[in-house]
Amino acid sequence: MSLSKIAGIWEKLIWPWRPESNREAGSGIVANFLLHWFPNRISLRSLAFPASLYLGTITFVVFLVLTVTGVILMFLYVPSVERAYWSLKDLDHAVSFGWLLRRLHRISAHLMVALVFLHMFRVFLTGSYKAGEIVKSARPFNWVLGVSLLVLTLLLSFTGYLLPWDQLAFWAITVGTNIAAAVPYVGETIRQFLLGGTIIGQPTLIRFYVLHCALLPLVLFAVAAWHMWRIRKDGGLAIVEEDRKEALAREPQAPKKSKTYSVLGIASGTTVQVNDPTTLNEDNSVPSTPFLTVRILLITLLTVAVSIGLSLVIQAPLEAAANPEVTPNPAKAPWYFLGLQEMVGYSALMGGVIVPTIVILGLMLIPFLDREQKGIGYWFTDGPGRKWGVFGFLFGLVTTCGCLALALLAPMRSIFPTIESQVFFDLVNPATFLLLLFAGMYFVVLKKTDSTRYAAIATFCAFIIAFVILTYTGTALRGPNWDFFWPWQAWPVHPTAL
Amino acid sequence: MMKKISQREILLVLFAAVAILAVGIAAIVYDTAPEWKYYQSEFGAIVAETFADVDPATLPSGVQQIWVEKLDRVDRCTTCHLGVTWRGLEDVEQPWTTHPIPEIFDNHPIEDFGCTVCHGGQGFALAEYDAHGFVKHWEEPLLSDIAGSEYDPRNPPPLYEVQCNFCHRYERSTDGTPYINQAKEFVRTKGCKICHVINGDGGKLGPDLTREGDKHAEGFDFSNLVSEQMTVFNWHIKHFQSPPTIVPGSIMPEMNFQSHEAQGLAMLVMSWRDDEDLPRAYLPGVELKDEMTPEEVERDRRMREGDGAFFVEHNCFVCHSIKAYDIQSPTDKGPDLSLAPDDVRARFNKTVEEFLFDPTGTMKIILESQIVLTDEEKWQAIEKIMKAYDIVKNRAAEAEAAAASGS
Amino acid sequence: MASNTVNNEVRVSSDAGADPTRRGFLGRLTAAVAAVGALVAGWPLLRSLVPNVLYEPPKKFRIGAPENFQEGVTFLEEHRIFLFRDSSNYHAVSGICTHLGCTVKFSPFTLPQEETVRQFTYRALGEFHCPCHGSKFRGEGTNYAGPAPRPLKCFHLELSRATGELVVDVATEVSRDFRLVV
Repeated sequence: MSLSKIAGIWEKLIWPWRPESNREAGSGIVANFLLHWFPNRISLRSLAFPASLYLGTITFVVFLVLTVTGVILMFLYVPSVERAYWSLKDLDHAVSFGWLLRRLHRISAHLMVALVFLHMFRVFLTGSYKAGEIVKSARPFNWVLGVSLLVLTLLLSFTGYLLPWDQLAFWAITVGTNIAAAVPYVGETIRQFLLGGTIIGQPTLIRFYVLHCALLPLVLFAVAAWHMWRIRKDGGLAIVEEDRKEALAREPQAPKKSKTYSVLGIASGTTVQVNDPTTLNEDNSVPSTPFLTVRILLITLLTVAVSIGLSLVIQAPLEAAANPEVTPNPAKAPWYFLGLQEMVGYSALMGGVIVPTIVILGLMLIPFLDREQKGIGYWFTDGPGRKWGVFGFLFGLVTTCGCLALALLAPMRSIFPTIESQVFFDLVNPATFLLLLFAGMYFVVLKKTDSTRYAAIATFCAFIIAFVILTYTGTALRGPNWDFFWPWQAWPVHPTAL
Repeated sequence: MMKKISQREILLVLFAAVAILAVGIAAIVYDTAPEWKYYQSEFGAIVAETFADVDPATLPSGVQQIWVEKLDRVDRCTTCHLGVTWRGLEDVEQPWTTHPIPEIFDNHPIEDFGCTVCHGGQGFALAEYDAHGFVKHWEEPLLSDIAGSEYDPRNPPPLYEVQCNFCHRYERSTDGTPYINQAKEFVRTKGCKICHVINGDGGKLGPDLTREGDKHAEGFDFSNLVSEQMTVFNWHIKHFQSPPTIVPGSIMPEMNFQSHEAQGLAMLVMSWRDDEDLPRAYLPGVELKDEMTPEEVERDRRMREGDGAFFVEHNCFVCHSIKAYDIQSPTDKGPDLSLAPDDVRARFNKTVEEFLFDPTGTMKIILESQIVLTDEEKWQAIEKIMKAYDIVKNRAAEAEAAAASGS
Repeated sequence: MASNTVNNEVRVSSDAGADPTRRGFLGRLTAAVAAVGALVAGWPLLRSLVPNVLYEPPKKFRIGAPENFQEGVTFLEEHRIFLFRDSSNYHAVSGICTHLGCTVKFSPFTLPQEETVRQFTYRALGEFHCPCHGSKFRGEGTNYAGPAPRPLKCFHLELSRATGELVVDVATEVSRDFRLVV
């Protein structure tokens, strides 16, 4: 093998990543398996950081880190009630870099949940769920796919939470599955299907393990692929609507059918790109390879570096081995469910079933309730949008703190000590009040501005702050016996055996 | 011509790559320099100083582990505590020193027990802080003087006795556990069983204490415990010293226990845990033998210890009874050796000595292969046989005399 | 803008509608049978995940001879049940909070009190508090504070015909005035 032959093979492998001309860049996209994901050219507006903050990319990178660390952990963890805890103890102490694998997997899991929320906030606030008018895309449907991915991420995190089989895991899942049992009529059946029996035991562990390691990741990957495919089909990030408006302003006639580069070669037909008036040229775009590839490389490297860095300083907790006879005090669900658990404290039906259902359904319906098409891709749409966003934040802040104060100072059962009906307390409680207040605000803003978008912005911002406050309360301000403690108040000392 | 990526972008990528390299190297360094390596190399130096004849290459290196499968424990303490089973390192400091009570290994071999079953701690861990178990959520910390001195700085109670009694629970008194022995004595003399069920029987006035040691900290009411230490152990100590203070309305009498007595009682109570999974081999006093009547036991003892023990030791009794010594053969394949002098003369026309030193027939085979006796043993046998003969003859004579005078 | 809007949807041919020929009928029949077949094939996959046998402790179990229980309340930790004895009257109350399943604690009164809760008068030795979210229950099980939605369950008690021991049946609930007289 001469040096020139090796150089020849190397050149064949890497030329798509280092194209020397625009044509080579385009050919590289269709010639390389990994690169076929990307479009030939990407608009400069899409590439810019503020458009997306690359949150979706970061989330996907974190998911890949989870998958890689997860597969290795599958060799080291044993999903049996007798061995699970001990296999984790050995991971922490006796397996080389076991501590790193565990911490990395855990911190990435929490990061992924936080990131999918942030990504959802970004997509909403930039109005990127809107179909657009110039080329009517399927972004509303893609938003629904995204909400499904949010639910899948939460389920993945929840199923993984049980696997350490320590007190934290066991009782968090006890609380979580009991919330599921609050669904009328079918609740107990759902709970028993999840548990594989009537109590949390070996069948539960193996079900959660299979869901967590096999079924849910596959489903998540499939839906995520669909989610990305839809972005490509719709012409890229929503900010490209601006590129389209510019192109139309230059040439106001009806758009020409033009050629499109696709994996099948050059084709004509009715894809978005073909009907798209925008021509991505030297002024408004760059080739995906190497500009987007390098950008994504940068994001990937930074994300992994930050994740590993966090793993060096943040420990993964492992409490005492699971003991069904002893309930720790307090017993808490994972952090992303603590806002829910706080509301469940007011009413299991309202806080645990009705409000989450309304939230998920409401999220999915946003693009169908808000049909306005202006300002797509811009944060808060415009000036008034920002104003109503701030209003929503403040309204949410005041009402959430108010309902919390009500729950603490004037519990419903002490205001109405003679009423015995559980249905009454399921309907009259701070969670219901919060729901009604938010719904009321939506209609008031809608009436005042005559804009579904501004009303949606206000309500969504109120939802964000309510979620943050309730989650914080459940995490930091609720101590033993679910008593309220200010951040500066110390929790009572936990007695131990010796 | 196409655009080029900005230099700034390339610099950022370089920065990110360096960052990954940095955290990666930090992670590798953190993992590859554990504490125990230092302790092992120090041990090598100590051994070289103390013993002239030990080859350093034979010293243990790497993670050391004792997996006690029967007790479902794995102990890695000996990774650092390298001298614990050695003799001669008594003056060395921890962690290299010899066990303070090395006799313990005579009937508690370390391969069958490990360390944590007696001492507590976190056997999995390989770093001192984690291994000694004073970490959050680990419920079996090291039962050391450090823990004990929280309760009595000048005279720390030997907390490991709690673990001794987990197995030695049903013994009346055990060597090496003075606090527990004293506490057991109190249980016998102070009438605890009048009100409480203990080890299976007792009264119903107070709660059943058979598994009191398993009761979780959450199950105790600490509201009347005014003390620095919110521990179950302390609860028991204070409760023994003054029950109505800790449990208002309690009718349990105050028995004026001194603090070390209350500590011993608290230790006893905490040792009472569910032992259903303990393998029988670990329970002292459990005899896996056939049940025998007292007469059978006594006869067994006489056979082993009496005059006829020689014939039992050398297996003669398998075929021969010797009624003079009350030795009963299980098979009686051969004649009673008490009458051997007559027997051997009648059958072989020899004396017993002649026969023993020059046997014929079955005995020849047996004495050549299965029961090989030295000359001295043969003389011993002959002496005992002659004595047996005398005893039988005397008994017969006495019997005749008694029969003649009696009837 | 309207004239510049392009519809991205795929055009479906306008002559859609059922094919009236025999061929068409056979096609639709095949599709229907295939659909039913898919359901039939899918049923075993899902049904296998609903267990017929459970490796769980039995729902009906002996807890010991009635004489062995002290007067007042005894907490059976492994079963999470409170057993009450009033001379020869016994009853069993579940220790599992009806909110989210934590184990409640019994908070005894200094002196037993006569209480009337929902038209039922009885002698209360104390009440139940749940440590997880602050739910509180009266001595006979009624929830009166906190998020618990239902009273604590009371379980059926009987004497074993074979050994005379108390037998608790956690699969059978009874009303709060149930007493087993021994």
